Amino acid sequence: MNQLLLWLDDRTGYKGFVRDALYENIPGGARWRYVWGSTLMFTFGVQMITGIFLWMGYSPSAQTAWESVYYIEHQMVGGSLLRGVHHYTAQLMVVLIAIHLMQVVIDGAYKAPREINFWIGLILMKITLALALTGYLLPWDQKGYWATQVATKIAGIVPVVGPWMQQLVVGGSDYGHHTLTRFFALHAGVLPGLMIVFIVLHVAMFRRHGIKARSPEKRPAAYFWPDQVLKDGVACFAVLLTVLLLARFAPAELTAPADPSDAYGAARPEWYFLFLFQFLKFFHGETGEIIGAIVIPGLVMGFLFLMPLIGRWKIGHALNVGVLGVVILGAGLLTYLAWNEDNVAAYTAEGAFSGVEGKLTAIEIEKRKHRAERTENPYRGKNEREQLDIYFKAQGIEDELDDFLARLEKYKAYKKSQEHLAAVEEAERNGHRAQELAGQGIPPAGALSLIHNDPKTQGPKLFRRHCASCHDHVDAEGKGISLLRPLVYEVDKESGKLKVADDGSKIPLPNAAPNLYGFASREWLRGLLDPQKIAAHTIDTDTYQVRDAPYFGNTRHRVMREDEGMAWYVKTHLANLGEEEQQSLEKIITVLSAEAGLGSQREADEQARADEIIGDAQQNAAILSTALGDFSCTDCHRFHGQDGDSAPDLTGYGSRQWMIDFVSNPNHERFYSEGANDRMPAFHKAPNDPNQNKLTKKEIELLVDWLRGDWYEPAK
Amino acid sequence: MAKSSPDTPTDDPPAKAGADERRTFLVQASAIVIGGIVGFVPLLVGLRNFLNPLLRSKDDIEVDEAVRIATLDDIEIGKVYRFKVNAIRVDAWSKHPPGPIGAVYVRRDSDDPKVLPKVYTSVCPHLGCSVDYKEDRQQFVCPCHNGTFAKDGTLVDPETAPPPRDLDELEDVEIRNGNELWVVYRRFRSGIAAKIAE
Ligand code: FES
Repeated sequence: MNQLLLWLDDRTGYKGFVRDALYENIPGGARWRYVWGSTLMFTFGVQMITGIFLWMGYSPSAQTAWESVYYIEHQMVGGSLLRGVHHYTAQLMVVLIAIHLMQVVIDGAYKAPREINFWIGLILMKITLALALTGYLLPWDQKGYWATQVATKIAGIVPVVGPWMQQLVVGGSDYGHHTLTRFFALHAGVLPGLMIVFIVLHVAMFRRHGIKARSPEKRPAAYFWPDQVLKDGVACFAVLLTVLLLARFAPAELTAPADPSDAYGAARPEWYFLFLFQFLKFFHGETGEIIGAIVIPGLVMGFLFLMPLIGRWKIGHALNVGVLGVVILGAGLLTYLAWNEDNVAAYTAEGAFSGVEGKLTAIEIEKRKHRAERTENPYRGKNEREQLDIYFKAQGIEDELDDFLARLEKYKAYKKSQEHLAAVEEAERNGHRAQELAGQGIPPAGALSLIHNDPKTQGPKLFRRHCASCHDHVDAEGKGISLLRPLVYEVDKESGKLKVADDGSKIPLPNAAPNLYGFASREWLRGLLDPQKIAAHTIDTDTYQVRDAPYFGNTRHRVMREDEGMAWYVKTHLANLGEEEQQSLEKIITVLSAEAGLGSQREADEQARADEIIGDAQQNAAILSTALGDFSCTDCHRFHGQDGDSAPDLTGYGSRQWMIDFVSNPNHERFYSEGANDRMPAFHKAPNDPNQNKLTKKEIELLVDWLRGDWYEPAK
Repeated sequence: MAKSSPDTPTDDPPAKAGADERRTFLVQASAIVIGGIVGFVPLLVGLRNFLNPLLRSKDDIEVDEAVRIATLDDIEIGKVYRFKVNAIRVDAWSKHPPGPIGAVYVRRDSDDPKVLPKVYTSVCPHLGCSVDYKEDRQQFVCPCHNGTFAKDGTLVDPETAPPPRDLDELEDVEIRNGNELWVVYRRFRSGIAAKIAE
């Protein structure tokens, strides 16, 4: 053995290396404060190792980046741990650099003859930050995509060369494949390469000058081995443990795949850049931007570079330490401010602003009142401040206005934070959903197509935009999508005054449509056929709105005709049913609801089929032909060959195809005969002329699938 | 330990006594030039390709074309609507079928068909976040650095707000077939006071 080692040493001289490495002299002996450099080396090593393994699973392109990261995270063995370690080590590296920098400055280790090594250290810091920035984009998820947009846009405002720089990093004028390929080349090639070069220089020079000890005379000098090595080892071990625990118990996040067409409200940079983000809020306009985003950070960096020269000066060292302290405290404060602005709502007690909200609502009610009553509206065309003046004057409480304005500022900050938190929650939800969908396997077009074709994600958005101005979608607890329906009175076209009924009362104009939550389910139909509910509504003249109208209560069906129509029929003929008729009604509901074939009712429908309540088309038609009161359903409605023709066809009522056809064109003769439709628009009237249509076929399908609760859910 | 085995070069080469100085200079110069060429040419070859986004001729970038946004009956007078912009998008080697490439806000102030609707991009002129329209406040609000714009797109508090200009209005607006809104969708450079299309 000894022979072998001797031979090896003869050929390589390794003993010399080892001796040089381990028997470095440390004046004043081993100390904990020297561990930071070693932990940084260690974290860099971790990043190289985990990075190369991540590389083996990663594919940089707009259709594969998110997909491959998803695959690493959820499908590959140990992928989540690997990615987690890389993710958290990166963050820790930023923290360790800040500590290392502080230690070097406080100890005066930047002074002659170590100036150059200090500068190299600063370069290493910049490379680390660049690695962090480029790495954040690579998963191509919403979070990284939008945060990085801001960063490259900042590059774009640099005078003269900015736009070119921006195009070069982005790889074109828009984010896309080449942004990823370029960022990846930087992140995995150029930057680590530079990092290695500068680390070698950094360490070589550190060896040349040795450790800069404070008061080395206090304790005897010692070699690097073994005391300092042990201390370094313990520190690295602590770092590793932290990272492993974080990676294990808080896996790195993956939000939904980047979607350029989506308004992503939760855009924020990674936490260690938050201070810069907050800093930008204090500057305005083009020059402000340049000062805030480029000049001041540049000056701070410049000052750091000059530290060794300033340090020569008598009070220079104190100045350096002072400035660094201010910068670090400032960054900490800005980070706190940014965090606080985003999160105040989370720890504000509910009702803390009820006073402010009360006054704002009161103004809204005033406005609705003027609009409804057609009275001179003093608020019209006025801005917020003017409106407040008017209101406070009218109430005779002008003296409260100043207090109120101060509260209002706080309230706005609170609202803003609330919106941010909601956006974050939505981002989390979408990310979770994207991963659920990806679990079925991702088509070659990429994961974004999964989301764009997902009723659960797209349905509510489409509903909000195209349906919610009339329809609600709220469950029994009142949760869901619901807009306020202002009270409007009918106006006489000629005189422009409000119309009055014979009894002198004003005539409220219906302006909404049924709540579509659970449409065509038994529950929903039971309500529709309930004389108490079909036309129910509350006209609230205190707040000038129409409330509680789940069916036809706020539609023209309520008032359209005195002696015909669904509402009239239900109210007059279904009010006093005998027990037997009650049972028939329940049967009708069961049969009709089964037409929809709702997933949520599958078992109940099957049961009813087994109990022979539901039969074949003919039997079902017979049930709907049972007269209740003086009429049966099929006197007006068509149903499996029964040919009522004055009301919508109930064959396949609530089924996917029925709903698609209905939404596409409710005025089709199958549905509302002339004049019977209230105001339901046709959303896809002309299949052959896409320009005529409000919604595409695909959008209608998404909407209908969502209303029917028909979307992919992973098996539990 | 005995250091030198015979084939380990240890010593400096013997000084060339009386060597031709001019020859030495030529050798040195050639070495530097050739070394420089072999070092730089590959780098230049790479750099030229790296500069592709700047050097690529504009010919193969698509001409601005109007896209259909909505029909006028979808746009109630006085309200602000958000519409997606659907168009063909080319991303390096991928050509995507028509799909959402961005979003615009549309406002109609009058039902006179001659008065064109106002169309704004949803991209914040500050640093490119996507602005939201808040119906209750009748304002556009940017979720990033609190940039706020009035209903007509003008910047609120221009003295202190981060964005350098008003919300970008898209000017090439057209009504086709009587009730269809068509717009040329553009992006503008962010962070600067002037509105310059990208
Ligand atoms: S990006 Fe809109 S305010 Fe900064």
